[in-house]
Amino acid sequence: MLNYKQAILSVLILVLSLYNLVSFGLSQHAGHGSLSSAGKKVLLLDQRYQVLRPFLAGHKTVGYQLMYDPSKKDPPLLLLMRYYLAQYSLAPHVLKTQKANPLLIIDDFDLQESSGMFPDLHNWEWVFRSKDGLNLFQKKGGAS
Amino acid sequence: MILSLLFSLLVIYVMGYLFVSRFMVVPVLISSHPARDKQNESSWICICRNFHEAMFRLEKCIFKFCIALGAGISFSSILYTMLLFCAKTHVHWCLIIEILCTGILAWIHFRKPQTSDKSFMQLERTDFRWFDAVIPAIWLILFFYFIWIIFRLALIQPHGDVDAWATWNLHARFMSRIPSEWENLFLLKDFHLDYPLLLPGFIARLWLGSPQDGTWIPQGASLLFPVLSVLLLYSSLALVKNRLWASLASIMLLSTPYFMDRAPAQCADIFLSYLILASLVLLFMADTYRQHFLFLLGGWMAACAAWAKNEGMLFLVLTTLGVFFLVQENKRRGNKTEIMNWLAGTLPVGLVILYFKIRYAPSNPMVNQNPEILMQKFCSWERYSLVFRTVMSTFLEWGRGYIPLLILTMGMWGIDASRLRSRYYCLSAMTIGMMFIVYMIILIVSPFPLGWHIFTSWKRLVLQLWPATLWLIFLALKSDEK
Repeated sequence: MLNYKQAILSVLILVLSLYNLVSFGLSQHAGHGSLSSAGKKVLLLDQRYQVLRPFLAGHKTVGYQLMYDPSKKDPPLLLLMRYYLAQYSLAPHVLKTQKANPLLIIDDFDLQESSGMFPDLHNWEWVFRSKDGLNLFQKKGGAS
Repeated sequence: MILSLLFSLLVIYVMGYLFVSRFMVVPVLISSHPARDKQNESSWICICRNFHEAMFRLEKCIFKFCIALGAGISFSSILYTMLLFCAKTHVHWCLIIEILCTGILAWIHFRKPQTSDKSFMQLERTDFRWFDAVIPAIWLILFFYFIWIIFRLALIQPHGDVDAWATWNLHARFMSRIPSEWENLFLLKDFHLDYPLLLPGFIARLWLGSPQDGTWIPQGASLLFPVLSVLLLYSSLALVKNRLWASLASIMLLSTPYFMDRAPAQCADIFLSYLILASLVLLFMADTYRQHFLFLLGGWMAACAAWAKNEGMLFLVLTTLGVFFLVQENKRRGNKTEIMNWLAGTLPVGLVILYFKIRYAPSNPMVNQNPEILMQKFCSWERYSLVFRTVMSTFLEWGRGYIPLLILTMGMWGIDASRLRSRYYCLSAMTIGMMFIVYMIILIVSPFPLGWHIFTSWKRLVLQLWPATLWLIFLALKSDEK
């Protein structure tokens, strides 16, 4: 039989566990099961990049540059996350941000109107362009 | 597609079950007084006896299920990864090879039935106490509530947390989308390429049969591992200790806020915690019931822990050293079999890890540090102070006071001295203790900004050891029951 010490401690453990479980559960139920803001952002960006996958077939590495509106003052960490997310979506193609000479380049604009932001489009031609600022360029004369 | 996935899962489970059944002998119930004339027993005693027998059988089934599923998942993941290593254009044979393995294991299983499945646990209990039913009933309700909470959490973050999509699921996508080009993964930088591939291998293996790499597979897997951890903790303690202790320990685990928070994160921390727990449980049972084949399973689980996360490597090294030490210290008959079985379990996975580390993995930033800077960090009291404060705050805040409560429980209930004389119990406790200490040392010499490193990793490190810690503490508590 349980002695009184064991009974007290068992009840203590049960009460604390119940409190933890219920308080955690209630705090999570505040969202009513809808997507969290981070979860939604990842889901949307993943879908956004996925449209590029058919164009990248046969390309091991692809250039990637993220062009953002400086007025938004996005912290660098968020920009890095965006690159990570693009890489996650477009695997197994490798997105190179520096010192690469790929035949395809993804320009990822954080702007609705992206025209005029490109530094130099002389040697590049559009392969894909979306309304939300995602562009895929191919080097002129490069294999498609 | 769903049928194909279900079939794959069934094959994985059956394969694990047959593999485990070959080597694992869990307690088999026998009547403590077989010669007793049962007609003389009162009906109440009969009811009590039947209740305890039914619960015991259920707990045994749960235990076998947990170990079998873990073994099947790890075997399937390792098989898929080995195909990627050696025959990346033929990974689609994975299911066929699994079916073949299942067939061979079934043939062995039914041709040579397990003869060593001897009864070695007697059920003395013929009484019934209110908490025998009430506490497990509370446990069951809380367990289903826990599943409901983590299920909802998994729904609101379909891709898991940042570490999941930037590391684990990213690796899985490389391994499954175009398997012949999976080595492109190592052209990346800063994506934790030295992380082992047990979890990504399993996810990639399940994605293999589905046309799109849907998020519901990693979501489902991330829900499976915490559930397995809780069930394993409950069933193992119920088998080797008692139901009350088992219920309390597993209730503490499932109600730990950080455990619930990380459960749907789709990272490998909880998978690792499950493997560490499974390895220690099997090691303890192997020693207690003198079943040397359990060393093989324990070794397999320990090696899988090393293949799940780099921290698991430390666990594998410590447990292997511990097993060797015990063999050297106590040269009695059978010890050689213990170590041979342990090595037989660890070596296959160990070779896969070795191949991965030599062939693919970049060096870990932890091991590539300037010795002078390392010494400076060792001598920096500020770093010690920060780590100490972190440990203390975890000590007080973990589970809103679980650790002080556990210490109080140990103080008031007392420790079972026979447990402290058990060789493998001491080995397990020392391994967990050493891992805590090494984790602290790693933080002190961390090449990353210390505050950031502590913030991002310390709680996860504690979480990895939390189920095993609960198991060890509740196993050592004094019990009035026979």
